[in-house]
Amino acid sequence: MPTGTSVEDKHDRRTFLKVALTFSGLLVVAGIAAITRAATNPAPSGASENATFPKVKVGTLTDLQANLPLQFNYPLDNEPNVLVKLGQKADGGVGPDGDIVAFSSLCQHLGCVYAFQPTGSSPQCNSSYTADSPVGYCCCHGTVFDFLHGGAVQAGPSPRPVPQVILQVDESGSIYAIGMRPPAIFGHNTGSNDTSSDLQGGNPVSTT
Amino acid sequence: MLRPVPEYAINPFYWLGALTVVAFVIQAVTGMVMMLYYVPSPIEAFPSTQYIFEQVYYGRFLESVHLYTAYAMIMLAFMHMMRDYFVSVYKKPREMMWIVGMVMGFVTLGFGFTGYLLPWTVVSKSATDVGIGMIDALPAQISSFLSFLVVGAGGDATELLRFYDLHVIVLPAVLLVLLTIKMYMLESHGIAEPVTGVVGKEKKRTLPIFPDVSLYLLELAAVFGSAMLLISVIFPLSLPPQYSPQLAAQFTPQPDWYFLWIYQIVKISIFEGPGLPVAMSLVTLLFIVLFLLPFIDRNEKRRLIDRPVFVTIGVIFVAELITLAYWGSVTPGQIIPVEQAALVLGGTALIIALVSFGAYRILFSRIKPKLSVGPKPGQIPAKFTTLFSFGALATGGAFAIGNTLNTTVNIIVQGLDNWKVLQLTSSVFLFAAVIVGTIILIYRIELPNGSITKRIRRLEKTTHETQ
Amino acid sequence: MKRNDIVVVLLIILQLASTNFLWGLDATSSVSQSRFAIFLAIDLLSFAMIAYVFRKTHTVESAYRSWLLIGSFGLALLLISSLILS
Repeated sequence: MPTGTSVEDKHDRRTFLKVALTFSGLLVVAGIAAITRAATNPAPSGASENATFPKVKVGTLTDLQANLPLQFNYPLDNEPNVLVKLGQKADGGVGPDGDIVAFSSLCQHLGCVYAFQPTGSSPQCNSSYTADSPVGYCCCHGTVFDFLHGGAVQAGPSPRPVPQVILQVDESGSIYAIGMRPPAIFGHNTGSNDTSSDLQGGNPVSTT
Repeated sequence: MLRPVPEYAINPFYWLGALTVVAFVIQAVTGMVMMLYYVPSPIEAFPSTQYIFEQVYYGRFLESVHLYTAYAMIMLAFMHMMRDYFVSVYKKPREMMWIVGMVMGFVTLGFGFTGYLLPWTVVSKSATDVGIGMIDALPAQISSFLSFLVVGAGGDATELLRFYDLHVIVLPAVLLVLLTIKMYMLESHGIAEPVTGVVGKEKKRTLPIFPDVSLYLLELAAVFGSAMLLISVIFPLSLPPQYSPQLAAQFTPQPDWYFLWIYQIVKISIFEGPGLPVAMSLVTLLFIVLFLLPFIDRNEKRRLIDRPVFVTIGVIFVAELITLAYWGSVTPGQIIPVEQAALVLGGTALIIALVSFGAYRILFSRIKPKLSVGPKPGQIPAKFTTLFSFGALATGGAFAIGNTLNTTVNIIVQGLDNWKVLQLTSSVFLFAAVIVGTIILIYRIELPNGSITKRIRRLEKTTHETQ
Repeated sequence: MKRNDIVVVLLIILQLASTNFLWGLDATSSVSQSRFAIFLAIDLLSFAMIAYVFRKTHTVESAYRSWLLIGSFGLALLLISSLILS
């Protein structure tokens, strides 16, 4: 420390530094307090805005026979789906036996339409493959979707499972489609998990 | 009231514990703001987290800072523990501080475990399910209590609510109580002196708590805070997809990095299926040993060079944790054959032990050679020790050479991957260690004759010290 | 000491400017959230440097210029990076 510094000089310097430090500290507090803006978000509550899917009747319990698929479009008219009664309990299955499921018919790889293959059958395009459980087999590149486990990819190049349709059965035996599970249907923001994309890019089916 | 702090304590290594508390304060602030928006129910958990991420002012910033500061808190707690271990702070009279500190470390891991589930993503729910499965495999008394605590009567909703309550109320309260106890003990014992002892004049130089030491803490806190902020800018977060059983089926769960070591232990083939409770008991035993460390290591010596065994064990401990964690991260879902595990873990420990004891012998002359004079009564004759050492070195050398050749051929034939590189590196290191060991052994044998030392002047000094 | 005083004044001005920016940012875009983080970091580091000067000059020594230089360099880096952020 340089000699010849008078006591008053040192005292002034101390006071200056003290003031500077206090001021600096207050600025830090102000900076951190800016986070409180996050606490005052004027938008309402934390609940999300659920995408509003229409409720569409797609069949009745008496229409369906085991392993005979039915085609229907949902939620838009360019989104084909397959509805099938599997004969064994499946994930997401409805009905008295929990075996009625529906999936989008568009493969998540490149959008080809795939077909339902009951257990033990072989697809026409590939006779060397035999399904050992109810699956969807895509002839374009050989993707196999497991209909017992929510459309998970059993084999093939699809990078994600095929979206499952959320079904509901009422007391009179009518089956309704009421929503879609993620991922998004192929061609509607493909690859995202935002199911609201399924409602855009086409005309909605009628809800009669 | 609060005693002044000696000047040697103005050094970041003395403040690792304080920085852990600073991290906790950051967690509390960011957490409390997020609590205004998060809803702890299985249906609303992910949407509300997504809402924070996308719509809340500074939401993404809060989430990023919260996550990275959580990692920093766990890392700092671990560094604090290891620094105190190596500097022997836990010895008399501070044994209770170590034990309270270990409980706090446990609570910190609990924070990590409970917080990880809350966003209800594919990654977090799958990993937590596995974790709960492992809790069930703990020894009976512990598992029944812990299981009930975190899962209750069962079901996703109860589990999430309990995890949330533990994370925001129970664990913070416990941590604060333990912190108060530890601070009280710190005040009564004072800050531990440096290992090399403090010479009189420096001892008198103390700084008052206010303003000097408080300012130092604020400085450290400010630098730490800005580091956390910058990390969250450089590594922006994105939310994994929401949990659904279908998505989870295609996913190999892996725990967060601080539990990877347990994950890797549990993946060893002998611990499969019925062996899992054995693995969990071993982990419990490890924690118990850590807890009771001050009562296991009763030696009063604190200098590193006076504690060859415990320093070596400490280095092996850290090295094994890092090895296990890295290995676990590159082999998700793969079972490890027990021979591989023995090779990697045993090899790491062996190499470190050899290097460490070699260093202690050559650098610090702390391990005296037993061959310098004839065998004392009751001592095993030198020729048997030599025979055994040579045998061990020869076997080790043969094994190392064989393994090196084997892995090299494997790499050429089957291609490179992380595991093969690890194998190759460890066998090459083992080989190098065997060579070093042979040199040390030959050196020890040379002592009576002295023909090597005559040629290498440097070794003369060491021999004169030991003879 | 006089050099330290100038540094302290400059740091306070920097803090004022960055805190001012903090409160004016749009709070939902991820770019401005990153900017917020950088400005808050500038704020905290300035405080750390001022506290360091104060603490060192309280005892007999003077603040080591090397730390202040490193700190200032870091702050300059942060300011530039906040501008080129995308």
